[in-house]
Amino acid sequence: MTKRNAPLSGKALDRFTRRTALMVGLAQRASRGEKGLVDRLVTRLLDRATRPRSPGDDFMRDEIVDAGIGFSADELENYSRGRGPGGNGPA
Amino acid sequence: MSTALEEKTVLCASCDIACQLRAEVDRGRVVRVKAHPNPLLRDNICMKGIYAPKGFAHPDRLVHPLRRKGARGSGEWERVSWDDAMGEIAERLRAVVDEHGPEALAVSTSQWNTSTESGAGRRFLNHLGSPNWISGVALCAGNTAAVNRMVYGWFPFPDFTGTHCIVLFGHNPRRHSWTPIYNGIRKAQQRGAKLIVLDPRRSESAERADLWLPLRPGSDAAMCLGWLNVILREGLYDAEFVREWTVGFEAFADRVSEFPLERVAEITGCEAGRIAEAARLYATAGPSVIPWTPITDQQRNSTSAIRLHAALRAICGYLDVPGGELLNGFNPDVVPETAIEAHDRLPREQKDKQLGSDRHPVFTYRGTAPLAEPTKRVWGHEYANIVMGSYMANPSATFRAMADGVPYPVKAFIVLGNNALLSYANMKLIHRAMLNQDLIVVHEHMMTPTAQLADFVLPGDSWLERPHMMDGFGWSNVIRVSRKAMEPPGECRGVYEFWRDLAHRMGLGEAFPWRTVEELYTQRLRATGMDWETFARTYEIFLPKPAYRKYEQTGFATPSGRVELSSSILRDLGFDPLPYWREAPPADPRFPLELFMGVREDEFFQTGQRFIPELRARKPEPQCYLHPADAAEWRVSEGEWIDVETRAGRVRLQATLRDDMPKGLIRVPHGWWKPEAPQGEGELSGAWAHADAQICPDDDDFLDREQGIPHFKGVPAAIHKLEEARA
Repeated sequence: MTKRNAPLSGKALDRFTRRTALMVGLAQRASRGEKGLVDRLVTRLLDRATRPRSPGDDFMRDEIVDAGIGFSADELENYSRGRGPGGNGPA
Repeated sequence: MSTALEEKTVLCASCDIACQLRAEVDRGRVVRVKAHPNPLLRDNICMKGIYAPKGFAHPDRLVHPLRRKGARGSGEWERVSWDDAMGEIAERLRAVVDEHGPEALAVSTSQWNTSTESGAGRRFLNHLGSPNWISGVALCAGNTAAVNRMVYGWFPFPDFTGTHCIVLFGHNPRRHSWTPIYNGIRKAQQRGAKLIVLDPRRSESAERADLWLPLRPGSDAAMCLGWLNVILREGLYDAEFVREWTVGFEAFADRVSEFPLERVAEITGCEAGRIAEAARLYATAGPSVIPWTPITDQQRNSTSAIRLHAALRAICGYLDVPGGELLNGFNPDVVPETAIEAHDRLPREQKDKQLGSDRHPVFTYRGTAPLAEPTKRVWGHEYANIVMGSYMANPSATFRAMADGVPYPVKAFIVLGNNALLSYANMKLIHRAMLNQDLIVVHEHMMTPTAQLADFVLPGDSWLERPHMMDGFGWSNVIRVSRKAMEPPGECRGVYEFWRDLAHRMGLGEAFPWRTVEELYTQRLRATGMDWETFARTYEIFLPKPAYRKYEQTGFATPSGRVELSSSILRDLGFDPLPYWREAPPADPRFPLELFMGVREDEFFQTGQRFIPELRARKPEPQCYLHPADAAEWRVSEGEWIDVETRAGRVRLQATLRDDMPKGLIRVPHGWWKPEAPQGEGELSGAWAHADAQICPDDDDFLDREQGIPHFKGVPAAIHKLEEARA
């Protein structure tokens, strides 16, 4: 008969919950708006811990995202007034 | 020398995932949207967010209020002030309410504003006295939330971080669609988690799966019954959990026993051995997840299938455990958006008038009323409008009331950030409904086909132009912050301002004491001891403490306090209390193919973004996918324009031949119109030519019984070459 891999319960779950609470605490420090020294340190640690080990493992790399696409304020202003490429408004 | 630009944390509302991002601001304009540097959020960005600054700078963006001049849909408008527009809207709405009652107002909204109004729209409706609020969430996640609540009192959130196995029922998260879910799944797979994909098409997710079951479209409920048959027969469930925490197990097991693998294989078209293999993997791998899927949401057997997902989670013991499906509840430190909605203010007699609640009550006030006391007992609030899905009117019933006055007239329609004409089934009915209105108000960014039929078109602000506090649609208890990164252009205003203004003009001002949405957020944050500005400065993400197996202290938020495998609520509403399988109507020889509708393309969310040049260049035309063998049989070639027909209507699409499609199935994209095409009645900017809402039937054969939502997965269809279509 196939054996089930049972979910955590009892003391094992308690230990897991305490560990998770610690991780959440660290994540909370990394998610503060205005970061102090400790927050920045925790953020750096978390960043290193969560980065893919090799570029080949990084399935989130993407040519559109990685291109750093942005616009200049003038370009958007002209576009919104119908000037420039793609503008439908009066030239 | 370049100087660093100011950066603001923002929550993207280009789709309904709400990725937290960074906006770079130069001279008062957002010039770049990029991924957030927080390690928890890194890489959660897609092309729709990246190009959003261009979209919001579009030269055709609505920036001033407009009032209709000519006949409805004539395309003749005059510019008016906000004050004049709101004054006239209030006056005309008052006339409708005086003549027909408050229930004669219906409201349709979508994510981009709904999630950012902090419950103001529902608050207005509830104080006015109308129960008739509809949204696309009736077909997508909101309905799933409501059905889940009936089983165990909350809509669980998958814990991808520790899961052992992920089951995707047709869902196909990609790098540029449902990005954080894609990220979570890929990370889990990297960690060693298994992936089971059930999809008629060999999707990108299917390509990466450990096990792919190409089931027939619309057969999710039968597949689940087959899995449960294996799991129960082989004793692969959590017997202790079932004994302690479920009701109706024996009757449920009897129902499941009616679905031996041979029968399920015949219904689903999958091999019995593969079905059993998948069931065993799910049940034995350890805590596993069946994430929400927009596919199971939209089927003739949707209610049963969603309940069966819930039953699988429960009997395998995967509820509220690490790596399983978490029952989060509300964040204890923040007043939930549901509380602001003030559902307690709507009198019982008005709730009873909610359209569609007589025949299809599951996500209406009537269907969710038995959950009020248990929800208060377990989660501290009587109402829990998770994903806005628990107190909705039925969309089809609402449009019938608007069109025909049955069971009572609906004569005013307010539409916010929602291209309603294209967003629900049966576009012809919606069109007729809109032509029969005394007042239509549309709050929008662009002149959509829906806006083209309005009396007033009001310019809406965007997610870069307003603050926002997100509580995960009441689904997640993580609170996230979005800062106002730039001023809205012209006279664009937010949804909260619209409702507050209208409330004051309608004599409901006391219900809206908060002058700004920031004041409302401060009120919601009072338990933290911070005002909005301090909170937003302090936290980008506000995380609650983790807790598991909470039901051991509180029970489940159902009438019995347990997981209801046999539903007391559905029984009392007059439905089968057990999940079941309902066959499709007899085949119609005129429509030998099957249609898979409601498909999302990476470039667009629902009916949006087609005006953004860079995104449109990637997907210039509405394309339907079909197998090369079907194309040969129907003499269709790659890139050829064809008409796709169902018994509801036909639309014109460009054929794309794909060998990842199964033979006999056509896949149609959702929500197409062409912003550059002629506006007004007749063309409605290409909506009459291309919008899939025209071919979505909503008669009884194609409606889920309990929810009354339409069947989009496996609708009988035919295709026509254009010369045949013209003949």
